[in-house]
Amino acid sequence: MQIATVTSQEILLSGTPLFWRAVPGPALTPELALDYLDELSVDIEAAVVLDSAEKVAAATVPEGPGRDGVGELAAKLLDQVASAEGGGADQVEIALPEGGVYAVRGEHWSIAVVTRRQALPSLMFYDLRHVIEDLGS
Amino acid sequence: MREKRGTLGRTVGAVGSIVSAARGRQARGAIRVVIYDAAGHGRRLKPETEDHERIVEVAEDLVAAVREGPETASQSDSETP
Repeated sequence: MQIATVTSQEILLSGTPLFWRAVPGPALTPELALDYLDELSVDIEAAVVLDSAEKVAAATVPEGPGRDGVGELAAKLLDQVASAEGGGADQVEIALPEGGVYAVRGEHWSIAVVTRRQALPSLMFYDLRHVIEDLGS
Repeated sequence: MREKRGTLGRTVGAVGSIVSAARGRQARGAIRVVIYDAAGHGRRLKPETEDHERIVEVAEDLVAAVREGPETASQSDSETP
């Protein structure tokens, strides 16, 4: 213990940030997830993150009734997908003339995004799945 | 006689064809719904089936809510007795 303390003092005096490697980085939060998605894809116009209770955890839509409405629609969409014939579906891609909608339901989090028409489904799902995994539980 | 094109010309032509095809698809306005299970297996829903129509309706409401505000999107749901 004494050796370690002396060593740590030497490191500290040398100006090296001593503990930064030991401190875990901030976990991905729903708000950070939106920023992350924004950086990942220029195709995303709007995004909403739902928690396991299907409440809005974060959204690019401003606070207020609009935000809640978008959250409810996203949850409703995922419910419709889950109850579609065959069952077991947890993600969906909808290509509309006016844009695209992609939604993924995870165990703890769900995400729905509205995109421009040109979004690539495979990349979009990869990004959404990646974010849901990083959000963890 | 057909005009000879270099590598750049052919590349530009190919890109132009892809863009034209994409615009054509967009112009046709085809609505596509594909659902995926947890294993990633996709299934395209047939148009005019009940599942297809319900999902498209909600998706259209979602796009409208994002772009125009919740009032526009929820007009059909907000009918009060």
